[in-house]
Amino acid sequence: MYFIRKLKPPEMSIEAIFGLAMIPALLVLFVLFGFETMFGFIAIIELIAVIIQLNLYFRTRNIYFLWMALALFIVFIFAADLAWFGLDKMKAEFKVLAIGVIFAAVLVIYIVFTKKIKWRTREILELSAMPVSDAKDGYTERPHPLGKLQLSRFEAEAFTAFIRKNLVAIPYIENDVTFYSLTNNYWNQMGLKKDFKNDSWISLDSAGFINVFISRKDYLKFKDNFSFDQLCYSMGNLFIEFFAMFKRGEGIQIINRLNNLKLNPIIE
Amino acid sequence: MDFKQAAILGSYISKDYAEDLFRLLATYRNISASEAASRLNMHIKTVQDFMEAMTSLDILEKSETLEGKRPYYRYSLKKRLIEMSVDLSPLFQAEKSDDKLNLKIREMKNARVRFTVSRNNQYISNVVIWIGEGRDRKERKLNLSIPQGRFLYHLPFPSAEFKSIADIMESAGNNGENVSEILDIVNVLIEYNVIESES
Repeated sequence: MYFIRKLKPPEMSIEAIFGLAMIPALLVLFVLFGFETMFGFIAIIELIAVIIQLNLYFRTRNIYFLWMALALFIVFIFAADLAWFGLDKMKAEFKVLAIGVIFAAVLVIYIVFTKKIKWRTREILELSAMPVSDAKDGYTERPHPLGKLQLSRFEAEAFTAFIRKNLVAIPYIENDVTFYSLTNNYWNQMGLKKDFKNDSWISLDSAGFINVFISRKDYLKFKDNFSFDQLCYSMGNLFIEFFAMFKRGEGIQIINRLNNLKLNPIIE
Repeated sequence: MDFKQAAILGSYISKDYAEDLFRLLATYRNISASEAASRLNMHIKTVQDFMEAMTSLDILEKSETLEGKRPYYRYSLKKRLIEMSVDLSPLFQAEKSDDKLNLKIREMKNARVRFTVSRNNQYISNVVIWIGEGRDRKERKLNLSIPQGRFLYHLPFPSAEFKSIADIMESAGNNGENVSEILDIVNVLIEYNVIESES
């Protein structure tokens, strides 16, 4: 799918910064303390990553976080083995672990490049801006009331679980109102930060009323000052459309639509 | 009684010494401010102000008396019953609100304002407006009634088309009973350049 990108290039994520910072850190460890220490450090980092993936699984119920945890755990065992016993290619378990690491690498590459664990904030913003061409600015910090959706409590809960599992948004429930937060804040995703009201959200109350709020930070991510009311309207309609598709049992079409934008799976 | 007179009467009659002073005035055929002050152990100025206020409201009558070189006033009670009725009809807007309901409005672009949404996310609970520049900048907070909050929740965005007040009220589910308070907040926000009307 070809479309005119309306978002500015992404800023570097905390994971990317951390990953890049690891390279010189590992080199320094290797030069100063040797091979074993470097792999010991890798093992610690991998163990932390495993815990993070498990936490994300329990928060989202996305099974791919469990696969990621498994892959990273294999790397952890490999790195711990090297740190503890040193490099001995003749050892029987070395070959098993090396094959395990190759399997882990393939698994991680598959999960990352098929966007199974990609948070969809930028996709939602791109899709919202797609039908908007007027550039009238008009940003305001008020939510935009969009209308009413006919849905039962059961349908709302199922939709919320779908949105959570597929990382479309982070749902928060407050006073019978479900807020689908479009935050890309790592601490929110990890559940270490509870405040979400300053980030963009779509809310759905028990009566079915939908409201949309786009934060200034997200509005500034667009290349142009798009007409703010049209942008809010479009974002709200996108969720209404998603809900209709989900209700028809076409949840996979929602994911396809997000994937069809072909955003970069690593940096966006 | 107009609002100003009612305010004077209300403020004096609410004083804790008012009943004692009226009891004195009921007991004496007439009494001077200094006599009443000494009798009740009060400051003469306090009593004098009270007597003058009651005289202006036609509750007391004063007569000038000459004793030696210096004239002074003696006050006597003119009424046994004080009635207070205030006509609020002049405070109602004479202007027909129907005309105002057709006024088309929307939020002004770059209005220096912050809207706080209620906990249930269904109306605006208050509006904070920044007035002035630099160090002289002041913050004005307007707490809104629920109908006003609902109305502002549905106010068109700065980039949206203008909508009439009546249409916005309908979207917000406001009934006609709240027209005056909604018009009031619209007027205030137009004054503070938060809302603009279609010229």
